[in-house]
Order: sequence, then structure tokens, then C-alpha cells
Amino acid sequence: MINKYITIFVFSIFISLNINAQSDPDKIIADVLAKASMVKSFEADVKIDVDVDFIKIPVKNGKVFYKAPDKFRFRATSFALVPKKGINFSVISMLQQPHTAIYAGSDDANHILKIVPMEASADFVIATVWIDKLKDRIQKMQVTSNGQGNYTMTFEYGDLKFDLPVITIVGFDIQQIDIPMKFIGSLKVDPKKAGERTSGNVKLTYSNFRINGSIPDEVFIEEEISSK
Amino acid sequence: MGTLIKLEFSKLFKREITYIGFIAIFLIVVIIQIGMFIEGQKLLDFLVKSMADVFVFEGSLINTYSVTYIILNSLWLHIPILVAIVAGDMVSGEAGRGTFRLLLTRPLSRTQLLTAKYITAQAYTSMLVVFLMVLSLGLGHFFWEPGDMMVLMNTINILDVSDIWWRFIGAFAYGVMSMWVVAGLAFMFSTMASNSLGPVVSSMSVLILFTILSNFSIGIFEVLKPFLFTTYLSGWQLFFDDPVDWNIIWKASAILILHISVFYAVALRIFTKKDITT
Repeated sequence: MINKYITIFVFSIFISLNINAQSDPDKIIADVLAKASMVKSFEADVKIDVDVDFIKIPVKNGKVFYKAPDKFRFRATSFALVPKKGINFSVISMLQQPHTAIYAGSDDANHILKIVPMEASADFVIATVWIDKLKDRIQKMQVTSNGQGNYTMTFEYGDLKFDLPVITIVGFDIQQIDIPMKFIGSLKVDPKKAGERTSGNVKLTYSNFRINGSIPDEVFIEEEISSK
Repeated sequence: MGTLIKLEFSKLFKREITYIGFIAIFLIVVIIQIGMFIEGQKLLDFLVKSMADVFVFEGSLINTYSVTYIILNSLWLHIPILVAIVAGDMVSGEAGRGTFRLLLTRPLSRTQLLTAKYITAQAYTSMLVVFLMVLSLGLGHFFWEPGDMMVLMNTINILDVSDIWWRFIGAFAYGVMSMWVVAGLAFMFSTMASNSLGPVVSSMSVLILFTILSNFSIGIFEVLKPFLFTTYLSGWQLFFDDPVDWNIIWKASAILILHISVFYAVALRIFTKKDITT
């Protein structure tokens, strides 16, 4: 009889420890960062599809280059609107900043964490991150930025050897343009909506990955492209 | 008729007034190009500052095509003046110089003479618009690379570089047609006068009045708008919409052609019935 109670006690402690280990936000983030750190560099083709109700732009093609720890470059053959937030490793760098992580629960497939940056200079106030329980990778992120509204990033992964998203959807708020300038055209914005914030999103579809190959540093140097 | 038109062309290009339009366009285009080269990026930054919160701009929207579009937008109200100066002088100038009676002693009908003058005036108008196109796009290549173009047309349209040329050709073709209306109007007034100033001032007055009426969005002016040719003068911009509304373009073109025909018919009627005393 005593043995039975001891077994139950030990088993419950084991379960409790296991649950604590699973819901330790710092460990979850450390696992994500450890997997991300396996990617030292990559380059890929990207298609950018902007969906904002007052902007019409065709789908643009470009190339992205990344080199650890923080070099990132986008190159397009023609003009492209590239979202400031949500391009791949900007998300990882957010998790690398000093922060307090809170385990906020879970859904069927993901841990849900709240990330609060510790530094006053951080460009976001709070972020909610959905992290895949089994694969230790970020599925979704909602960010309240410091003065630039809220944005959401959703990541879809393919069957790559490394956990790099093949599709990223960035949702954001954007202010309606309210300066109809006659000489450049006529923008018929509803006056009631001018200046208001509206939502939009950008879909980034990556393909032709080349991971952990050699990328020369010159690729990351900005060029003067505005005029001849 | 061919000889008559050649003769009219040689007369036209012997007059200094003919070159005013070309010189004015050249100077304005050069000044705008230089201005945009120096300050264009600041202008664009101001225009898209709310977008800059969300997007990084990869590449530049200040390029040959965007600047040409800005030039067209700036100049489109002024080209009619240049057109009217020459077209308004085509018939009245002969009257003013007292050469009509001498001209009509030759074995040609009044219809032939007026038609030759009308074709010459409209050809000059076409040359002026083509000169604007070649100069804007050609000179732009010295300052910028070709690139995607931003147009504010109901929404912010960013047109791919591969999708621009046909729009410019369409826009300039439409532009030629709309300027033919202005030239036709000035030419019509020219048949009524015996000095050049009257037709030019009259056609400009009509143009200004109709433009004001076209831009009023209230009451009775809304009813008048569809009947005023000035409503359709800026229709060249429609080629930069996405998608292009061809129905509106065809309708506007038909109305402009109707105006061109009516102005010619009235001019012909006046000229053939006119008692020529000089």
C-alpha cells in the first residue's frame, strides 16, 4: 500500500516537473534561438504581394540575403515596397534582446508567450508569440510597436532542412494618404478616411533557398540607386 | 492639296511665332527636369511619408517616367495657350497681312485653302505634343534610369516599368486629339477675325471659362460638365489608371472628335460665306 502511494507521489512530481519544463518561456525561446542559430546564412528568391486598399502595385520579385548575426539585404530588379517588419531574422533579433517572457497559455499546437522588452530603446512594447510545441519554431507573432502601430506576422514552413519560412504574411496598420497633389495626379481619397489608419498586409513567398552558403559582404552594402 | 499643305507649312515655319511653343516647352521641361533631379527625392519622401512607417522603398520612384508624368500634369493646362497662338493666327493672320485676296486669285477653292490651313494647324499641334513627349522622355534618360512609375489615380498606382510605354503612347495620342480640339476652336475663331489677337484671346477665354465650369462640382455645373470639351482634356491620365477604363476613353475620344468636326465645319461655313475684303 505504501509503495503504491510512493509511486503516485513520484509520478506526480515527474509530471509536474515535465509540465514546468514545457511551460518555461525562457527555455522555449532558447530552443527557438538554438534552432535559428543553425542558419548561418541564406539567400532566397522572394515574391512580394502588397495588399493595401489605396495602393496598387504588381507582385514584385527580389532576392533576400542573410548572414549571421545581423546582416540582411533585399534586392529587387525594380521598385518594391518591402515591409519594415517581419522579414525573417528581425523576428529572431527581437527574441535576442533582453526581455521578460511570460507563458500565457497554449492552443492545440502552440505555446503562447508574451515578450516584454527590458530596454527602453526597444522598438516594440509587447509581443505575443505562438511557438510550435513540437518543432520549436515561431508560427505567429503579434507586436505592439513603439509608435508605429500594431503588426502581425504569420509564418508558413515548407519541407526545408532548416526552419525558414516559405511564406510570411505581415499584417499592419497604415495611415491613409491625405495629400492630393495636383501635379502628380489626383488621389480620390474619401475625405472622412484621409489620415485614418487602415489595415493592410504583405505576403512574402520565398523559394530557391541556398542555406549556409558563402555570401560576400559586398552584397550587404547599400547602393546609390536614386539617379545616374 | 499636298502642295498647298507644303506651302502652308513653309509659311508657318517662316514665322517666328511658330517657334515660341517649342522654345517654351523646351525651357519648361529642362527646368522641371533639373528641379526634380535636385529636389525630386524630397518631394517623394514627403508624398509617401505615411507609407514609410510601414515600408522600406527598394529602388526609386523618381525616374524618367514619373518625372515625365509630372511634367505632363504641370504643362497640360499651358499647352493649349501655345497651340491657340498659332492656330488662332492661321486664317486671321492672312487677313491681317492683307494677303487673302491675292491668295484666292489662284485656282483653288476656299474649301481647299481652309482645309490645307486646318491640316497644317493640326499637324503643328501634333508636332508640339510629340516634341513634348520626345523631350520629356528623352531628356529624362540623361538624368535617370527608367523605372517603375507612381501615379495618383484614385489609388496610388505603382506601374511596372514593363507596363508603362503603351500607356505613354496612348496618353500622348489622346493628348494630341485633345489639343486638336483647342486648335480647332482657335482656328474657328480665326476665320471670324481679321487680326490674330482676337482668336487667341477668345479661345483662351472659352478654355478658361469651360475649365472653371468643368471643375465645379455643384448644382447646374454638374449637368453642364458632360457637354464641355474641357471635361475631357485631361483624359490622357486615364491611361495610367489600373485597370484602364476603356469605355470612358472611347466615349471621351468620340466627344473630342465630335468637337473637332463641328469646329471645322463651322470654320468652313464661316470662311466660305465670308466676304473677303483684304
